[in-house]
Amino acid sequence: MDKENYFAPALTAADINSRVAYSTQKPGVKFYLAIALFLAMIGFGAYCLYTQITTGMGVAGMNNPVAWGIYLTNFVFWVGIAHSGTLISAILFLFRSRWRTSVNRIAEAMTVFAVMMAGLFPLIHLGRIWFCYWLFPYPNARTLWVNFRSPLNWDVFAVSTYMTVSTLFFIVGMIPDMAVLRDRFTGVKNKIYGIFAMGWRGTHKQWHHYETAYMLFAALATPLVISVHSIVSWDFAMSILPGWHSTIFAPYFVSGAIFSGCAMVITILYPLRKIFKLEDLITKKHFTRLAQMMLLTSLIVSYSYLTEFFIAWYSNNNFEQESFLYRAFGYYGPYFWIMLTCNMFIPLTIFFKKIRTNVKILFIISIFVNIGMWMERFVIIITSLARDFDPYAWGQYSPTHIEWGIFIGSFGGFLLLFFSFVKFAPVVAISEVKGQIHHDMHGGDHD
Amino acid sequence: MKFSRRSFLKSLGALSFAMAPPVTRGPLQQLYPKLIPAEEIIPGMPYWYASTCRECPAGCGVMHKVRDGNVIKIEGNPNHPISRGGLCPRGQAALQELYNIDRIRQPIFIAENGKQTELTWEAALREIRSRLITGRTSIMTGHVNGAQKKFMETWLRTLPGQNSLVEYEPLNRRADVQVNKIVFNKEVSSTYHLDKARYILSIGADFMETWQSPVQHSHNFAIARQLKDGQACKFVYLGISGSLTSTNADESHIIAPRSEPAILLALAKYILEKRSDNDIRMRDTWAESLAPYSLETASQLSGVALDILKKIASDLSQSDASLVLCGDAVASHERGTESVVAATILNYIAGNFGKTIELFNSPDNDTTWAVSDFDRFVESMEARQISTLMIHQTNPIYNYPGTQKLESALRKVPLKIAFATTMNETVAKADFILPIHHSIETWGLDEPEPGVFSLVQPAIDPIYESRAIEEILLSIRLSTDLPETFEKFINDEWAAVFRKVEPSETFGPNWQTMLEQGGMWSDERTMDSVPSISRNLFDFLSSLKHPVIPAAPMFQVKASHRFYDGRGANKSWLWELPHGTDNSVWDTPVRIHPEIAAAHHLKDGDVVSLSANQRTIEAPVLITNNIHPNVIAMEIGAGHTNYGEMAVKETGNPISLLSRTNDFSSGDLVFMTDEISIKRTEKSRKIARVQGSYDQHRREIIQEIPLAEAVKLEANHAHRPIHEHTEIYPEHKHPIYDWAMVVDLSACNGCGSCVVSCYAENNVPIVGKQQVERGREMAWIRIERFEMGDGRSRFLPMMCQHCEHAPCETVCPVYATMHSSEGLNVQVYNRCVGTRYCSNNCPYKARRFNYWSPKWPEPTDRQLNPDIYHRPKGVMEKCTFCSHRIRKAKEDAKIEGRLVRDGEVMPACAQSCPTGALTFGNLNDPESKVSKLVNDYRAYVVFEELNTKPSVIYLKGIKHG
Amino acid sequence: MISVKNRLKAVYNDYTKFIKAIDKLSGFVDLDIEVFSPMPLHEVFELLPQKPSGVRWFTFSGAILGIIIGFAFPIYTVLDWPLITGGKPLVTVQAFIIIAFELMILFGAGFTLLGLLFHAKLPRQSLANYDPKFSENSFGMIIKADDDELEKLRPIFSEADDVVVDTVEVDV
Repeated sequence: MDKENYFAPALTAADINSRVAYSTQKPGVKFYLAIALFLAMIGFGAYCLYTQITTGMGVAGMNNPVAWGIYLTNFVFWVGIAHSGTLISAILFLFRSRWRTSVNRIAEAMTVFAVMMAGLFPLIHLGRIWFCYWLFPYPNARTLWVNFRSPLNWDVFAVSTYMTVSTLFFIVGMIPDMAVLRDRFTGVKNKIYGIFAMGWRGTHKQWHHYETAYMLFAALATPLVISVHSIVSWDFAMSILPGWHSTIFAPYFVSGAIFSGCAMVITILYPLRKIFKLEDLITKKHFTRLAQMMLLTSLIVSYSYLTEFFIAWYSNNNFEQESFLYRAFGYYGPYFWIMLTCNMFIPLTIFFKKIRTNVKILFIISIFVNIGMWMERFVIIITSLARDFDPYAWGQYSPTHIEWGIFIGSFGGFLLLFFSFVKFAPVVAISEVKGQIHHDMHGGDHD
Repeated sequence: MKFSRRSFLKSLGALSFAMAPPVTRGPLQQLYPKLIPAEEIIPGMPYWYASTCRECPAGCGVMHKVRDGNVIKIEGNPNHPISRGGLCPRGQAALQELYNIDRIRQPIFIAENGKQTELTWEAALREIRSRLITGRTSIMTGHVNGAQKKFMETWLRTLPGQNSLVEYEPLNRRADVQVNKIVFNKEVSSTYHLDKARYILSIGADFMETWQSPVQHSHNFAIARQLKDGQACKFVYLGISGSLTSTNADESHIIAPRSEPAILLALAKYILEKRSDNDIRMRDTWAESLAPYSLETASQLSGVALDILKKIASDLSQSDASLVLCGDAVASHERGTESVVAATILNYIAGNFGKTIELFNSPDNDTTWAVSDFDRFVESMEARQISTLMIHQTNPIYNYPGTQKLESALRKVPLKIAFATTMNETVAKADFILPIHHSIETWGLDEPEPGVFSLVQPAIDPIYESRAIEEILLSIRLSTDLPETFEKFINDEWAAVFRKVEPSETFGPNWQTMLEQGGMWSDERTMDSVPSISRNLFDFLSSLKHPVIPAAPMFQVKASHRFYDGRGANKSWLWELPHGTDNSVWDTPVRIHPEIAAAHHLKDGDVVSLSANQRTIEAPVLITNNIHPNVIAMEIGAGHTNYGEMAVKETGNPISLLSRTNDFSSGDLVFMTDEISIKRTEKSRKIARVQGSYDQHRREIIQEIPLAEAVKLEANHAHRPIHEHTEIYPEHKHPIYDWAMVVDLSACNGCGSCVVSCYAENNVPIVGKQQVERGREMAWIRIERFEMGDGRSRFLPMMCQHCEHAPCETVCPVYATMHSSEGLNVQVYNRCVGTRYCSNNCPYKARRFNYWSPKWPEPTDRQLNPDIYHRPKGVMEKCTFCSHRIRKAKEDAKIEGRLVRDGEVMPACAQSCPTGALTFGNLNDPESKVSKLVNDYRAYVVFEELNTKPSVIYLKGIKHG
Repeated sequence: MISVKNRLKAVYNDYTKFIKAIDKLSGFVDLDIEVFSPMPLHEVFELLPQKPSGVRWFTFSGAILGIIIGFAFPIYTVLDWPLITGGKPLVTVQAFIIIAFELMILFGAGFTLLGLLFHAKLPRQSLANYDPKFSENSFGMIIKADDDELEKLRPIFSEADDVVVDTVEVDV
């Protein structure tokens, strides 16, 4: 078992409380400027969406044969980012990984907000978004139900379950910490945090049920997180399209999701710990652990890339071969090579200790991985569609400003939610950190 | 005086209707509701009116489908002797002329300064009558025949002065008549019986697209191509540039310009020598005249390998019924007449007259004016010898090379009256523009072939304040030799025809039958005996010299498969119909050989400026191997300056580059010019092409079977091999009907009729060039052209395959697409939310998504088929096998307590196909045509390995060895 | 019936002293004791043993319910209006497994939340018997007892940083 001390030495419980509560202080001008920027991004995205709804999908770049564009790329991208949150909070919890405690709250927040953004994209990409509720099985006047055989419907169930469960997990996990904030403040803040704390008092009975519930949540969230990205991958794998129809898609997508999620956690943590002075709680060691996770998943993803090409060659299937040759050397070849560089080659540097212990370099690598993973989804979706079975219908796709606008808008939404969360809620799981420090100090017979 | 269909019916007399025989059902079933008084018309019921297509001089019989007072579709008349049920894209697009946003809605006066004033009819006619001065009056018209021509001639004759009927038609059949005069000393036309030919050699005759009567020729060609007695017609094409017809050939070779007579006469000489058994008179004279020609010289001149020419020569000499066709571009270069004379000689020596060609003397021989005569007419206008010019259905400002001269001449004519449906460049030069009926709104009598009296009858009330031209002429001035009304005139004409054809019967009671049929004709016509050769021919032959093969590029202007002589350029269906060979839309690129492209550093889409005869146009280039390196070819269509919203303007008008030199023997317009200079400009624009790749990439989408193998299999009564599949799930049953379509790839020639028919039938929206470039064309059926690797191309109509295991159905989250109990893959537009997953998962990419709200500006909305749901934006759509037609047939069958009969349902595509390549029917009926065809040894399905089990079964093309 | 009892609140800043006190208290059975801490303390669970949490049963029944609904609902819908897609049978169990799986998780998680709220008696408004220090760095306990009992316990809290004793009404 990991015996390393992940925190700055001599950190007391009171220090933790104050460190975490630091972020909830009255915000400064910079914060408001940032919020204004995010609102502007959202506004632009909303305008683009409005244009698309009122004039038609034609304002986006999709066509025949490429009927899915970057909306679905964004969907998979955001869902992927969401995954590391659940991974860190649930899977690492089950594995008793001690380093998760200071980053799990941020990761969970990222999960919830990323799923929210992800959930928007399948709706945005609908030709008739105003009928999006038809995707849900609700009793209607014509007793017409949905088609449960469609992977898109599995998506509806998977994503909404994921959104619900990760939100529950997030909110339940915050109850004791909300109580901390409640107790620190008086007046309105006390009342508001009091609502979220739900009257938490921290008695040993409450802790007992809480721990059981938390463990059960983690036990449910773990298969869920794997199923959700598997189902997302089946949106593609269940079709018959060369380049999509593949059995390795589920593990390949799940590891890709964790890969991109870890990268996004690093990307977010790096500025966050600086701005909110959390260096004592989120240390270099956390970054190293995240980087190691990234390296592992990067290797799995790289293996999947190679497997895909191997299978295309080995199957001797004309359609598959053409599709993968096109992927690497066709019109979208540059995107493919960017993807490969970002996801396969750059993360290999993490093998060097100097690099994996250098937070700044890890931050830069994480940005490359974010780009690479977005590119991966783009390459998978677009190149496979652009060249499928019938050479008559081969065509190309390039996104329009409307699509980029909505993508930017989703970033605005994500960042706005994230910043609001940081300003409002405890960014580090206080009770868990305390528990761990306490554990480190007083030892225990559970290790 | 308004001349409506009702008043005409009254004028025919109620008696004839009372005595009309009851309409029989059966083969004429579709034709049943004829001439029903308005009060008996049932709303929502379709009514069919037989008429004649006036889009080109071919004279195909058509049926106009009328619903609630609107013509919504034009289909070929299955009983018509010319078209036999098919109809070309241009004929179907006539509807877009009728319902054109740019239709002239009331009389217009254009003042000197160009100001347009709208007038009432009374005012316009009063004004015209007051301006009429005595002097020469001319009617400048396109090709007219039958009753209309007689009317105009009579009307002009009875006017004082030296009047003339000037027929200007750039694409005409004049060459044919001229050549027969040279060869046989007879002013006669030729009829070609492609169906009887066993070997066809075409020298530049694009008979499937524009040459003479494309629907008829396509139909007959398909018959010739059918495998009969172990044989099927072979087709070889020689030409200076490729065309849709040439890509359909078993062999097609590019020849040097001007080398045609040398090839043809060398072939004639070869056959003369080989076929000593032939009963050819004056054999020695022939041998002497043909002595200067040899296959070797021909090979040298044309650039075609000697082996190939020898093979053609021996095939021709061995064939018992061959046919040599020569025309179009070839017939209209400065030695075009020589080429056609040579082809006629070849046909004569090969013994084809009386077998595959017959000559007939028609009162309606092409009387269009030679361009040399038209030049003189323009000069007479310039010399102020014409006092009144009437312009009708012709557009010389656009398609006559001397535009500037003509414009100046027109200014010298004191009174110009245009009779027009829509504005065009020539009409715009008139003083008065009078809106006339479209042919769908008026009456007429056409005689496209001798003995074929084809009816033109109105199917709807005029949609605007238009009148028949005959009416207008009579209101301008009555004629002593003409009845007082047009009704009486046309009635008399038909009565006269009837008396001539059926002297023993009375006209009245039979009139209704004629209205139902679309005219009168006798099906059996006997061929003439072999004509005798004119003595002068040998003088003509001896005067011929071997041509100088041009060393510099020549410019060839080609008739367009879609726009004909440019007249189709205001119709969006035709612009959106992909070009037959390169699938480009909304443009007419210049086709150049890679050598020229390399010399000028050009790539596809680069805009070049072409100059010849002191005129310059700009057009994008398209590089193709299927053209002679010294030929630059461009199709007519673009470059209109005043032809409504749909016409493409950025690309220039190729006709303007032509010189007015005419063919020295026939005086016809020459569609080629030397001294073309080609210059690169800085501009470049994407040519919107709807096909991604012309290579099949080993996917065996189009499959072929060698003729020898087909013959063997046919002899063995072979069937389609049955593959034993183990299915995971039990198959769903289709208890009553199981609809399927069979597509015969040996018949499909890629003409695109089905595509336009589908646009018209199913309210498929037009998206325009920009959207096609982005892959958003909406065609439910498309023609895929794939290059077979040996220079040939083959065509495959692709539409929704209605798969039993449809990949699209499973992935739709809302059941917007699913399988019907009749084996149809149905799309529920109302339920569609637009995930587009179905489209992604369709291996045939047959689904179309509405990226925009389709728009149908008035009056184009009157063309919409009310049986078809109007798809809003955000909804997926696709081929339905014309499910509304199936439903209609089922309703009819149910009333009669039976099942739908085979052949009763015909989707729009199958109906319009000139070659009968598409067959539709019920697989559950073992006697149906499709049931038999699906077991044919040629049957296969596309992407069989995907096990989608399509309901569209293709029959392999037959490949001549 | 309402009776009056003494309430003793002891607050410790030092964990060792606190755990020593708990250790001594664990000798007493049937003691009405509530222990407060800013984090879960496993030593306390050992000294004051708890029955396994009932939340488990909530989760289990939720998950089972989810599975049942996940199969029953799609099967009902396809039989309610049989629409054929892709040549597949109406009841496509393979596809419904995914629905059942997702609903298992969804219902399981939802019931877990209910279980937690039920067992931890949340949400509640009253923060009586509570000290804001418990959420920071102090540990504490509140014991409700009769006079006699309290006297016996009193010496145990000698090391506490703060001891408050008052009387409250309790339900018996």
